[in-house]
Amino acid sequence: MDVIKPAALLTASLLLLIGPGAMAQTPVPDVNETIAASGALFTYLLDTGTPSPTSYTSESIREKTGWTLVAEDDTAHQFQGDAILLNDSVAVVLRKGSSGADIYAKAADTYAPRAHLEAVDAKGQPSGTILELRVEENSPASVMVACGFGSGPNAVSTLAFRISTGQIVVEVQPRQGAAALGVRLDSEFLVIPDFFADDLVYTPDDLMTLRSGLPAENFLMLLASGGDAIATCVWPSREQHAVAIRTEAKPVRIVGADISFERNASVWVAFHEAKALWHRQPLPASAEAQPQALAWTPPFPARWRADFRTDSEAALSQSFVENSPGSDPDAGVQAAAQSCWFAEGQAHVRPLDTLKAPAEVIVYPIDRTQGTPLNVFCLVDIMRGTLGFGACQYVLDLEGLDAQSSPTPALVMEWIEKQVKAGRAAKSQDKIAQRLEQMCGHVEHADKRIRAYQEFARAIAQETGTRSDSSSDATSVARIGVIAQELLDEVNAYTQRGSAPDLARKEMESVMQALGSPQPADALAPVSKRLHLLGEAQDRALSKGRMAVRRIDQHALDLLNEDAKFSAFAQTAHERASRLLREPPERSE
Amino acid sequence: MTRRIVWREMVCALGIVGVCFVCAVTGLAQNTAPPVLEDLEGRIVFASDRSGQWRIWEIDANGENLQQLTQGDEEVHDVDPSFSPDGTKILYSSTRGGSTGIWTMPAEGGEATRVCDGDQAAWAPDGNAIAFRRENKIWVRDLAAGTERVVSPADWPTCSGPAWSPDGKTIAFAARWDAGNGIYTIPRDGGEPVKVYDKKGACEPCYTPDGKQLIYETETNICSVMPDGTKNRMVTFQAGVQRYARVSPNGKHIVYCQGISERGPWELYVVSIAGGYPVRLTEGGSDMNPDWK
Repeated sequence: MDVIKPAALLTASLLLLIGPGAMAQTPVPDVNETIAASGALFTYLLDTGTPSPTSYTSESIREKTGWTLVAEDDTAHQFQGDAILLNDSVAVVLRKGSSGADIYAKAADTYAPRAHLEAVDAKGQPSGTILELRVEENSPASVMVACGFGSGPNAVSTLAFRISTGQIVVEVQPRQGAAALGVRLDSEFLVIPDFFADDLVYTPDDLMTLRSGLPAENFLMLLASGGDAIATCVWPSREQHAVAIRTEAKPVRIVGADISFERNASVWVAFHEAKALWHRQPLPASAEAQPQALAWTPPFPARWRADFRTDSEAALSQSFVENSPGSDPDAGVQAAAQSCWFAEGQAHVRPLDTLKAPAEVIVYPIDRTQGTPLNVFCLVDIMRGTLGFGACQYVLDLEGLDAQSSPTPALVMEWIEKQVKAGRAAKSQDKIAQRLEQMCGHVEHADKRIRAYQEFARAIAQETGTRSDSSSDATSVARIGVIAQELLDEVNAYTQRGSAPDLARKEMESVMQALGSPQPADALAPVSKRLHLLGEAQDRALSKGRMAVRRIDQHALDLLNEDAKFSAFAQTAHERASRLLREPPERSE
Repeated sequence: MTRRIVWREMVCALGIVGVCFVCAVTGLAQNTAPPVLEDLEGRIVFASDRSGQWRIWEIDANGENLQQLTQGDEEVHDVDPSFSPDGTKILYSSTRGGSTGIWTMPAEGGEATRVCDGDQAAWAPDGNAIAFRRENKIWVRDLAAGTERVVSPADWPTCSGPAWSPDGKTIAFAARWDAGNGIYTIPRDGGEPVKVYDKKGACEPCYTPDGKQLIYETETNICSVMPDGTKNRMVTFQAGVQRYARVSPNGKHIVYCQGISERGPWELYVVSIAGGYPVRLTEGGSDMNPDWK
């Protein structure tokens, strides 16, 4: 995709008109003036003229002394210096002799150094330094430069870096040789968001080894030290893997993640910037169940998520709600059983009752609301812009559920209620029956899936119980056992409601009866509420189940490398988990 | 079916009642200077559920004079308005009479006349014919003779959103396949379609007044492309979702729908066709399917 940029066209045209021979006599247009004339949104490719032996500072990026613009559509350009891909949100600096791209993110009126992206091998070792640069795309909308890495005369791996106007995303395409993209960014937390259940929030202490495999399927977030930046990594293939990287020296720090390039698939890294973009706050033990004001003000309206963390990466996640101005925040909490809310702009949290030992809360923006500024990108925006769809469709796709042919109870009931409200229920009776039948199919399929997770957890819990008797020092085995038991508890809570498919069938009859009553809207309301709750319980169990299986799979892989005496168990657990994750059961028609 | 509003969604989406529009208000962060757009001339007609049901509304391009053009029973919904070439009439899709059909009315509102079955209709530049969708095919109807013919290929399963080239010789449309949407052009009398672009869910094409570019939507943004598939460029860069763009008569601006997600609700924004920050035109309810004259 390209974008239109009148000032760049003018500059490029001038350069073409005057020709290279005349350039010595003709004043070169000031780069900063040209960029400023483009307006607030732009993309440019620049040549620094001379390679720099050291990293660029924010000041040098602002001044651009001696730098020149590479004319639009010039893809044959030979760089005399280093290459700079610059747009209104990020600067990607490809410095000859560097092990990768230095990323600077636009913060206020400067480009602040944020991260380093490099080609790495399967063990996380850099593929050498930048040896060659090749322009692959140079339009007013997007620029892309391929970068050859190596330690000898020839490049052994090549990555292409691409940015587009108005976007905070850097796309990295593998060309040859690189096993993974190394994302290097000092981070306080690494978060794997889960839209319908609870996030995984890793601190350095949660990472047992220098390189810890992660149960992330398509995305993760690095919450950069200081609270003003987040890097979101997204990748399209479930065959790609993510590994968290930490330092060896104490104090241990998370220094980034490696994302592999299976299937030659890209990795996108988005750089979110704002003052107090994310927040962490310890929760004193005495504050259990007591509301507490956070020492933080959200920098913009959004759907903010609170992750309550205790002693493991498994957090309890809640979304903030907005209380009406002047209302009693505590009353709002009780009314909605909500653990985090805004009252007159002040953020409050109350640890959930189920949180046994609250340690701290981490807050970050997960999705946009009507009030979110259009130039602010949240996690879901990045997913939509890279993977092509939002959170709901993502979760359904993972479980083999198509929203059109297998609609959720919420979708179906919302549709039926609107038919009733519009006075179309009688006319739409056949269609309503059809949609309810599809809904029952959805519930049945989801239930089958949840029970598959339950069966898996039961087998793993049984196996780890046996193992831990004989080897209580095997940390990964113990962790696997805990996760399996947590999953069993979650699914047991779900199954105690009764058979979900039977409940759905029964409620289907209740819906049809309600539609035939004198006041169908009133009669429908309680049935709809029950079906919504059924759907929510399934969504949560599905999401928790999938995340638990992913975590068990990851620990099993760690165990394979960690302890040979558990290799048979670890191999079996890994194979079973992989099968479960990759092969959602066929829908029964 | 592509992403254009469909009847099922339409009857479901009962929005907030109330008229509340603002002009020159952006959804940008506080430290961003509000954009100023000049030459915002003419009228924009659109579908909105701001009064409860989907109705046809109109607003001046500068954000003034919002008015509702169609009325009807609760079961009636009107969408997809399109100005006639001389600006005196509006073509739209409606459930009036109990089935989905194409209707026409005076540009200032008034008595509606049913044209034929189908939806998503667009006037030919000479005003003598319309292109529209019926049973997932693209049809052309001669308005004087009342004759109709299918112009999209018989074996193409799902076609939608026809748009005439300014010279009236070509129709651009979207086709949906298992692999996703694509934009194609076809001679007005039918023939072999030519692919323009078939990635990122491309659909909803419309020509610029000079015919040199097609404006279209991806899953997230509004883009432009030459009819031969070259010079493919993003025009909107904002977060959220941008859909359903139409070009101003002077070719300088684009009006489009901005939503927080794929499911809306939608507001109308105007942006320079050269890119940049947009200006919000409407607020309240959900506003879709704009056309500009």
